[in-house]
Amino acid sequence: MLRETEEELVRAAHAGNIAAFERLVRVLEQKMLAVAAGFAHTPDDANDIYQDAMLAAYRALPKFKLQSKFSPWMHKIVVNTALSNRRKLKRIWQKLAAIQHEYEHEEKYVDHRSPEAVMLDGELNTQINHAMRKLTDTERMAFVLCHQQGFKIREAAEIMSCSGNSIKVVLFRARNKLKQELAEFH
Amino acid sequence: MTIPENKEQLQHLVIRYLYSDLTAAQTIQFESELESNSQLREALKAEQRLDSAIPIGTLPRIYTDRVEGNRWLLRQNLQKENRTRFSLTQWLQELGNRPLTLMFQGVAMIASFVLGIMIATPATLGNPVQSTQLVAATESSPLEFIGAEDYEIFQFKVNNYDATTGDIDLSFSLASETRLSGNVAD
Repeated sequence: MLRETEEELVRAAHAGNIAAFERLVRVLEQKMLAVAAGFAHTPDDANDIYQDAMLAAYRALPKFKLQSKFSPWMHKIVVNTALSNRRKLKRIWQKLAAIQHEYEHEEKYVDHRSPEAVMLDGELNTQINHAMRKLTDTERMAFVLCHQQGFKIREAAEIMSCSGNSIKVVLFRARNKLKQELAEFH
Repeated sequence: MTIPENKEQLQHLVIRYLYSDLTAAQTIQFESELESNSQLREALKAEQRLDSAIPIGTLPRIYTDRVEGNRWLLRQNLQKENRTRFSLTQWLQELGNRPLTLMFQGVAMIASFVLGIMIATPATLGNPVQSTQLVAATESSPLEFIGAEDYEIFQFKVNNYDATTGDIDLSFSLASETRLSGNVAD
């Protein structure tokens, strides 16, 4: 029944019904924003990635196959948009980073294991943001998808359009870098 | 599944375990191996230290106002996108859904076409007023006011002359000045 509703919403959104598209997105918006925030340097960049990705998804709706799942398809679009935005923003960010106080523009991480979602310690939070910037784009994506979003390795591989083995290698490198950067916290 | 002895391969195996990439049988084998294999235990502890600093499932926190801000902005962007997007197929589909509008537009177009033909061919339709106006326009042609002596020849040129046959080729221009006085009411 739920699947049927999703199909109907996709069809309506494809015909230009904005409300239908908004309903489709509403279920995923928090998650998509978190994915974008995982990839971006600053919360503003993350918001830009999210907006660009949602517009890209709206334009690409005719290509969406109704028998496939909507959520992984959206993740894929967010990942691709993040990649292209990161390339565009890289140069600008490098210039801005020199004049901005990074701590004012960083994401606040939350541990979701307990029901009351605990905020991480301020210093650790800053260090995580700092460490995440040391990762390459693919390392960061693999880490965000598997470690933050809880995707399995093969699911992340599908979203990133590469093999499971590549994800394992990239995760291995990402974790080693993070271990070095966060050594004082573990 | 064979448990590797190489440290790097052990770490790969541990990462697969942490991100639930092992099958149920492999997971059982991995956990039973932990009891006897100290190298594997160490590798797991090393990875778990990182996970204690940044636990699996740790996400950037997305506040409600950020979600709402993005929702509002997305609506604006989608409306803008809908205004600029034009699809011929969609336009034809929309027309198909409104047969009365289509009929009215068709009739209006045919009527405009017929009216255009009626205006463009006044003589054949025998409209007396328009015929008179046409004749009057012909009678009041500026050439009518130029008499036989009211012009001068200039730029006279012999282009070709054959002395044996007497054939000659000439070119010249005529210029005239006519002055009319009267009242526009006439």
